[in-house]
Amino acid sequence: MPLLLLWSWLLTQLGGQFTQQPAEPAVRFEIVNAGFTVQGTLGGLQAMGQFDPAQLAQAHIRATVPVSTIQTGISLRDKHLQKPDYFDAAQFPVLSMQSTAFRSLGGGQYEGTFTLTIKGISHEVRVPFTVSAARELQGSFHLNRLDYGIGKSSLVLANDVAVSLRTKLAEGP
Amino acid sequence: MKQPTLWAAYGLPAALLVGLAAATTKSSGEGARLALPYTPTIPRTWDSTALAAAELPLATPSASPRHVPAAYYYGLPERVAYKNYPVYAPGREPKGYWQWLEKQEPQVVFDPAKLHTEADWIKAGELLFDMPIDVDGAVITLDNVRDPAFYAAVKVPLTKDGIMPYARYVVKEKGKVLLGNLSCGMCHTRVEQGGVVLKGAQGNFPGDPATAWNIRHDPNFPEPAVQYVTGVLFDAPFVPNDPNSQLSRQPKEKIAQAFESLPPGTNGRQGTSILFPPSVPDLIGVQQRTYLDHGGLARHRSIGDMMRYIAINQALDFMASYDAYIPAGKAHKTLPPPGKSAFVGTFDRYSEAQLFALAKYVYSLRPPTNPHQPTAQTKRGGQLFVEQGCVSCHTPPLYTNNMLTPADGFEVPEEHRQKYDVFEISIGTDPGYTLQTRRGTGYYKVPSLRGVWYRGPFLHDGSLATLEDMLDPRRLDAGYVPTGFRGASGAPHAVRGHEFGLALPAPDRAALVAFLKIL
Repeated sequence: MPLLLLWSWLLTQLGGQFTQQPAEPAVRFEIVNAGFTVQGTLGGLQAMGQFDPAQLAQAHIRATVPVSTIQTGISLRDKHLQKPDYFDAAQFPVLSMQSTAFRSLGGGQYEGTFTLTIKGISHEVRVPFTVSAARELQGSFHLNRLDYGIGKSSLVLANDVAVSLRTKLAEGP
Repeated sequence: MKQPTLWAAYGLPAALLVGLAAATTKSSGEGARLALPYTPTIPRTWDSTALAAAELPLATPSASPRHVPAAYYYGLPERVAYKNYPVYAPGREPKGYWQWLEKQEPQVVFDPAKLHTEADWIKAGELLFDMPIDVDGAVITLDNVRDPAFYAAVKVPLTKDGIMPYARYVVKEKGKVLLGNLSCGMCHTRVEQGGVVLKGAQGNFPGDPATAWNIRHDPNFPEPAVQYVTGVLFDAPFVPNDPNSQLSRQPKEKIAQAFESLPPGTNGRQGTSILFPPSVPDLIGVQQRTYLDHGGLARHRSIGDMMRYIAINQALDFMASYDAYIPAGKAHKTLPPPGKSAFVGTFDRYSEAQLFALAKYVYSLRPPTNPHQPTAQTKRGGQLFVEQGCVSCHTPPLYTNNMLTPADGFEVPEEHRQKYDVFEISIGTDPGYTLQTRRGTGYYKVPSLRGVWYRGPFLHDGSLATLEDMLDPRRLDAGYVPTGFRGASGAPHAVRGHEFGLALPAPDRAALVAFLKIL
């Protein structure tokens, strides 16, 4: 399930240093369970770094989000997701994402390469995102929950998790 | 002194299975296969390697049962399967039936040399399913089954033909008709309203109220004997401040009240508790269950495991050592020589072929025809079943994920996460059964929802009589009167745990129930 991440950039001021926490859930995710799409959120994003579209080579972002903030609409399920068979929050209380590179895709689109770490397991993910004229950032990516030891193979629960972000960036200087 | 009433060892777990025998259906292809020549390879039941891993450790690991050695087990004499006969309620017995019984020669009905097809083995297994392993009045007596007052007080369900299907007459010697107890069918037979019999379904013999009756009415069941038997059945001295041991030292009327509090569909089986009783499991579909018992005590990896489960529960677990406590041992400390125990189920054993046949029969059980049909309401209920996340545990097509959930108060040991199938979230039901009994592992098994339409009461302890009660938010109120098991005091109390769906609007709750009834 869940996962995801966080992103910092979201909150970034295009250009310059930032440290921000969104007031709204920063990460949303979806996973199909028995043919039904379960939606969830993660909050409490902590992001640090800098992101200037004009200087992508210097951009860097590190973001973390507490596992404890997972909400799926069923409180017992949220509690279960903290357990060792899912996120093991006692040992791995945060999900983290560390950028390694950015590139421009043109037309206000970018792609960030991140090291996503969940339960102590790290994999590279590529996250395309856009920044609109209204300074709204949207990004999304998919991950395989089994790659991170989140639950086991299931007859009804999909492996693929769609992670998305949509947030208003702070006004630049 | 006559052997004291013992409501217990029955519960042949093994027995699992079943379904309305008459309604059992098999495809023509399956029928043809069952009629082919068949020479089974029968596993060794008391295989020390298999046995060592057949059970989970108890919640108190040091008290995990150490079963008798193979030499002891195979030193027990094999049970002889005598033909047995129906018991009719008073006033329903055909004229001359008793006199006819007295003229019957004893007949041995199980001979593996005469079993040539798989169907033969299954049919033989059914005979064994109905075979009492006690003829000494361990649960009920000959006097009981011929006494109208007993039926009136205990409210024993009857078939359409007036048969009381939970016990059988046995003829081991011509002219001497005995009352047989503790067949698998004693616990695993359900009589529905209208007298329809569902073999292997959640049984509804009021055996514990029957024991209460005998405690109060049998002059040969004095208080020390009542206390002894209750202790053998339920004491778990390794549990801190063991409430079961405290109960077995009470005056016999107190003990009778505890037995009496168990509603039909629950069962004070040995090693459990009449303070935290288990509901009787449905044996139909048991072949697809990977853990047996509400606490998942026994693993079910093969037919050999089923045979072990039957052997242990009928009833060699009385002779296991629980941290040096042997329930039916001499002074609870040592084993008598093989075959010399006086306690039912511990002085003999099923043969290997008998156990195999029993397991085959249990596996053959099929559910009765479901009268409930899909509707728009059940469709809505199915959607809710998914949306509410029920599918995570009650996963189709079995409607169980075959996993174990830890009870409140139990910390999952790290090694369990690799060895067993742990779904690591408590659903908050009463932890008494799995933390304070000889069968307690700290877990509760996720039950299948297949066939809930013919089952009840629900939850592991039978606290709630119906599916509607399961989804009734009022059950969380402190003043709620449980509709199923409510304890000896009968005091109102909330039935907590498994609180899914309780916040849904009433029409949605009704839709969920409707959906569940078509499974």
